[in-house]
Amino acid sequence: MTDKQADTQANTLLEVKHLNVDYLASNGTVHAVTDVNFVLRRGEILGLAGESGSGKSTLAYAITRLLRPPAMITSGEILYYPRGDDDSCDILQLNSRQLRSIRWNDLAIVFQSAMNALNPVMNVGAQIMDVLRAHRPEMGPDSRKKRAIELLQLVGIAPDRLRSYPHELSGGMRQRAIIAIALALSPEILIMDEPTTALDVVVQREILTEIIRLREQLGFAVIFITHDLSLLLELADNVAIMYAGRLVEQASSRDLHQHPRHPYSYGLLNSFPALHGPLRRMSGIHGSPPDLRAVPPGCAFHPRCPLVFSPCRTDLPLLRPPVQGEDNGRLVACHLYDPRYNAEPPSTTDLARKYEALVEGSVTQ
Amino acid sequence: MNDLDLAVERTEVDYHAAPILEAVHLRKLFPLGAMSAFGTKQAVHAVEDVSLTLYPGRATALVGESGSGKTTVARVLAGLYTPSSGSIRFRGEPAKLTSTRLRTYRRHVQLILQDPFSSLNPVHDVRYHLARPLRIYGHARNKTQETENILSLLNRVNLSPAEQFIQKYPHQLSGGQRQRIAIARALAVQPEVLLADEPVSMLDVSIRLDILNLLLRLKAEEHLALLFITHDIATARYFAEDMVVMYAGQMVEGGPSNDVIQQPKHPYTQLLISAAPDPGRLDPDKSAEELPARGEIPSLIHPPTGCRFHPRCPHAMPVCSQRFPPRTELGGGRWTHCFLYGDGDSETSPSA
Amino acid sequence: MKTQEISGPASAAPFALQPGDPIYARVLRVLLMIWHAMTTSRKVAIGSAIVAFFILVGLFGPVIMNTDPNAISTLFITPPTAAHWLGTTVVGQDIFTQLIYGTRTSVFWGLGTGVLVTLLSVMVGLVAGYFGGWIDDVLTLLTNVSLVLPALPLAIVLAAYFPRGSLTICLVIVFTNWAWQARVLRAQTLSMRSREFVTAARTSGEHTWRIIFVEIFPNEIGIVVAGFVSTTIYVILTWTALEFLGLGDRTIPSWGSILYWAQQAGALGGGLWWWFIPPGACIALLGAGLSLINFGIDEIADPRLRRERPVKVKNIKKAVA
Repeated sequence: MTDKQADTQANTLLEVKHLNVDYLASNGTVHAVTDVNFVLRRGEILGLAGESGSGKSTLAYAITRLLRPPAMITSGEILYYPRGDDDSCDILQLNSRQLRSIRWNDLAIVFQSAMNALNPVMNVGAQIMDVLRAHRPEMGPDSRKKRAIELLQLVGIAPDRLRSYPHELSGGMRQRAIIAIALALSPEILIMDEPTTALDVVVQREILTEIIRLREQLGFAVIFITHDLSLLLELADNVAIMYAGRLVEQASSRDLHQHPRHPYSYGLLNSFPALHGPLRRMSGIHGSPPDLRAVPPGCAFHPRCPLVFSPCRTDLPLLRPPVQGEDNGRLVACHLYDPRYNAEPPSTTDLARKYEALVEGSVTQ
Repeated sequence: MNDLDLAVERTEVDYHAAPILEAVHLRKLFPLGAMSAFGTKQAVHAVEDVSLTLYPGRATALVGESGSGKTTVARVLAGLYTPSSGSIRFRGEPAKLTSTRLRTYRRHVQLILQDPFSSLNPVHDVRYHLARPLRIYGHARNKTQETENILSLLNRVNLSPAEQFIQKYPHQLSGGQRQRIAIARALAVQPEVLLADEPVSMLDVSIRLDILNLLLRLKAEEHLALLFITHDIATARYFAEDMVVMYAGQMVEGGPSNDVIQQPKHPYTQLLISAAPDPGRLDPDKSAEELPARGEIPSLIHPPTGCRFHPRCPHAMPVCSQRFPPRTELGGGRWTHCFLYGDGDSETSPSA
Repeated sequence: MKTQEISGPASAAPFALQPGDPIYARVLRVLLMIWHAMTTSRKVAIGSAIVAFFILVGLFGPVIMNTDPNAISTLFITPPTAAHWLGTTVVGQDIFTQLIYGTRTSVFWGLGTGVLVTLLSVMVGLVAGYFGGWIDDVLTLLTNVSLVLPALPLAIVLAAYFPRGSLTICLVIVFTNWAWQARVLRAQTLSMRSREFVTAARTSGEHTWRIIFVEIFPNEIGIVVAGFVSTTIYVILTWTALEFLGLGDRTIPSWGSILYWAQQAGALGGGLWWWFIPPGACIALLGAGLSLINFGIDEIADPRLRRERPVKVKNIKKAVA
């Protein structure tokens, strides 16, 4: 599941370095993504979680360079390592022709409301074949049709649905068709922005099972963006948590589930009641996510944090391993784990107790 | 994470307590404008034969996917739709929902809507939203009384300092704050029953529990009967003592929430629970798990006959498509509508 | 779950009426709103200036002049001179005086009729849209019949049938022009009715009339104002047309009746341009002013029509496709 040290370089597929995205608004600049760094390995499912306004969708759009003004990538690098090629290319430096070839071929994206993005007057097969015609001009009509049928079967749609129009398909089927289109050119990276949010749980589960199965079959990597952390923990290998445009914690799903380090991660986890186990009062996180035009100084989470102490209000915490000498890819941006500020890092139980104290006297601003 | 002894306090199950609001065999059809080829009027069969009982100080969750009819039930109970058949009983008396008597009924039963971004009128401020119910039901006779009551309502829903919120307009509030205003508006009527239609599904994940905890506190303080409509079965367990599961307009199973989730009897409840996200399930071969059934809720214009789940049900029998299974009591307050458990049609009983 | 990438409370339309508490605050807010609209949009500024000019002339012009506009003199058919800025008619009436008095008649009957048309269409549109059912069926039928009938010929027939007078013309115009805006408002109300805040007001036991006029109506105020402005343009044109045909009160000077008398005297064929050009120019100018306001309102309501102000940015390394 989690990749070990051996495969450091060879397995890197995408590397995001110091990425910054701003929205230029008349009443102030919104720093939607600030100094984001992460690595996506081949075949990995990386989950990106956060509340609305945390910048997670902006990050996805930035990677595919689909942002439109007033959004601007102000600095950073997005290095893509194609298979069998030692050289990397910076997606941000590509011209529009190169960009066109890398999208779909190497990088596909499934949007939040993608299932409503199907063309209502074209049947599903034609829409898949359209993508093939545009990007694989050497393919003949017969091989395009064969490939379209193959893709539909891949995502669990019967081949006789090739001639179906979008309105004849249910929401889940439409979302599958969108995934089929995304997979049409066998991309290396699939970016999915809340792909199941509009679907019911049963269909959502079917789609997720499908994604896991296809990943094993085809070996692509997935960046999966959602606000539903409980879902992400089940699906993803590694999870990155975003708050106010910054990554605040990175860990494997299992580590994060068992020992969330950042108080925000704990709070987020603690926002999803468990299906099993003893019932206990949970608190969620008080207050609201900050206005990105005026992010609080220091740690952006400090006004809502039950474990806040003085450095949080002034010093910006940076991502660092929470335990010295531990090398499992875990990173957290919190002064509680920095020996310079706090000698004894809190345990999960400590976090729990602090949140627990909030339950009864629930007061909000 | 299990070492906390902060258990959710639960009201003791007392089925002898007088029910406050009962839905008796509710049925709701929405006629469609178009005629079918045979000249009969078509209709959406949104709710078929739903019976519910709400008790003061207790929360009942109505769980289902979209198209299950759960919102229609809430709106019928709120007096927004008239039931096609069946009745509503308030304190044991049949509730009269004619236009003239409706206000008397609404004095006792209030509804909280799903989307706080559209349930407040953008042109009116917080004062207006809270003052209207106070004035309509005579809880405030003059301006001073009105202000006093509004401030206390704002404090009760944890909006402080209340003086600052009273003049704000909806666009100046966050989603959570708006939903608190919507709750305060329902409370202003001083109801005994609160119907909450997915009150947190449009809110940011981190603040959902805050709102749920607020409702739980109000339930305890005011001895409110709560109906909690949700698609999230885990939240239903957290929030409500009792649970009713609906599928395609029919009730399939009900009983104490925890029991239903730990030991689901109806194949649809089993499907719903196995599909729900559950990080507790994290283990190396997580992808191995297969869903017991596939597909989506059928069209409610021509719903399947008998038990509407039978086309998807892994245990379907011939009888399932012929008639709707009667209610089978399973003991401990639990019941289900499934031939696997009643009528002697089957000896097999699938494990959860 | 709505995902808004830019957080913070969503700002409502800047021109939604916000009836807050004290009256003076409400009045101040409306004034500020108008001022804001006038200063942000040049079209609204110019349009309002033109309309304000005509209203001021209509209000104070006759007071300052203080002469009988119908007074006859022996100076027949004089082109503009220092004494008679716009010349005289065939019977020696001063055209400038007539124009000033005529402005009062035309502007105020025009605006007043516009208000009445708007009131009727608001009533019909909101009631039909909110209640639905047979009430909607009946009102929609009436609206559609009224839309199908040719408005101007019908107005001519009706104005000729009923006793001559300004009130007759006013009522005839109201009767023939309410349908278009009623239809627009009905559609809008129909969509408003399904908004959650209307449902919420119903569950809290609000009175039906309050829901219609206090909950729904303020949300439609933008459409009503825009409708009023465009209706008024049409009303002034119809009004002039009916008077020009001699169906109005010919003894009271108005833009239409000046044109009627000019036509009767054969001013067009006789080359008496100072007689028919000024009232025609006034009509065109007022119409243009109202249209400019309307374009401005459209722009404010629909930001896509607004010209983008370039954002000045420094230090952008990468512009994004």
